[in-house]
Amino acid sequence: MVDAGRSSQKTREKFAEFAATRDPALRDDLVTAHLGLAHQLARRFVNRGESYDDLVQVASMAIVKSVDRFDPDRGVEFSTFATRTVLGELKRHFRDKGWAVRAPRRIQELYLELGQTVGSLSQELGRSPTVAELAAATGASEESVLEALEAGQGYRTSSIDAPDRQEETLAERIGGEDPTFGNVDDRSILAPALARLAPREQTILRLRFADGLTQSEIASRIGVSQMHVSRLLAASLERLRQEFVEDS
Amino acid sequence: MSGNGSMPPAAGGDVVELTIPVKADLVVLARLTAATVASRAGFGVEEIEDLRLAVEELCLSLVGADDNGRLRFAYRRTDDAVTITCTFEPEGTGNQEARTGDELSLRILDALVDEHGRNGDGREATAWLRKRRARSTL
Amino acid sequence: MDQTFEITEDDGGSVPVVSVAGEIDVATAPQLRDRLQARVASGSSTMAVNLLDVTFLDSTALGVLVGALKRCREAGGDLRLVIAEPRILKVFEITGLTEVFTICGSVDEARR
Repeated sequence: MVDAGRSSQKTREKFAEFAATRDPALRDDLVTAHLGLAHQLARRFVNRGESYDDLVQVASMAIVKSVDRFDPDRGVEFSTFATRTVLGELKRHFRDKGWAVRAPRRIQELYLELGQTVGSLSQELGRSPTVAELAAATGASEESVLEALEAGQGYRTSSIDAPDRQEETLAERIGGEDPTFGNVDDRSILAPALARLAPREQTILRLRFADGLTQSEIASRIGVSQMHVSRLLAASLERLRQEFVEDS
Repeated sequence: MSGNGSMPPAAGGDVVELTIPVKADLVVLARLTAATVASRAGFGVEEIEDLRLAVEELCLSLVGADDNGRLRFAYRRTDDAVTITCTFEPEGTGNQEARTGDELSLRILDALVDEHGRNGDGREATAWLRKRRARSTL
Repeated sequence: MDQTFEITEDDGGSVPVVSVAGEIDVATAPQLRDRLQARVASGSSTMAVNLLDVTFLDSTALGVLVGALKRCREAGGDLRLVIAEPRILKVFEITGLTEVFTICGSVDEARR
């Protein structure tokens, strides 16, 4: 993480400049430089059925908001501030969409009702409401409110049941665009390693991790079976992993 | 600044313990317990959601797709905060490498809670977090 | 506060055009939001927002435009944007909003 300190200083200087000049071109540069974070967080919360593109969009807009609102004098790292903002927007996105997956009907309905009640109570109270307040406002029990909030957490992180955690971690490195954010060392090993793969393998990796396509989508795109894509992916990832192990 | 190192000790308050097998369909129990303890500690729903996400991150930083075993949680409720620890107890061979939380995990935890860290480097590491209650709810 | 911020509305053509000049930011975006909401509420579900004279757009502006787009679509219509300046277009590209909005290069194009 040798470069982290230097790039953090550069970023701070750019933000100070932006605060002074409000130059839109500089703003765009700052946003673009941190889009990798948007992609990483969006990927973290891809739910079955929730479009990755939608999440990237919400996350990207949140990065724009973060750049607009960030105060470099506050002593917080921009990436922490931005992560907080992006997570906040993603949470709101899921809440607004009323996701309540695999829950009994009454819980789904309660969840939708809670969505609005949380909003109005937050405004009224000037803070986020407690579970007790929500229960009182909706007439439901506290247990039901907690259950509904849990059911509504439609997002899943790249969780324990992810097909391959290694896949996800590599996805973040390949798909992320921001060299100042991720592990700089890994990226410099990764690029040449990727280049050593056959063109079709590179294409599949790009489609899978940078463009976020599913294996079936890739299969129909390149005209092979999904099982074949799965095997090619596993083989490519294994080859890349070997290179990492050798170099580290 | 957080991310590494031992948890500053907390004393007093009430402790709830939970141990679950490392199975995707049971991790929900870790979240529900966090939510209930936080709710009984007077946290607002936004903070509760943050804790839910943070608990998930704790698990992720300790466990990989091919790990088997159990996750031991302790939830401590004190006057002004909730402290959660999570220890992975591996079973079988699985992935022998010790997991280190990746950088995204650290950023997410920085964004969600006030302090967090990790005790130990071996496979049986403990990850912990602490979140303080916003004062205005009580 | 930018003194050149101005919203004008033109109902003359086939599609109503709301033109904005100046900077759309935290201070001025709410005015735009109110005008667009009022239009949808009064029955026009399709309209164009002319951003040709906009000098700066921040995230609140984006939020207002996205919100207005949703409302127009829910009402069965559409919201078209008129943008020619690459610097203004850039933020829509970065956030993927060019896939979401119908973006026209001129007011005439937006009226078709």
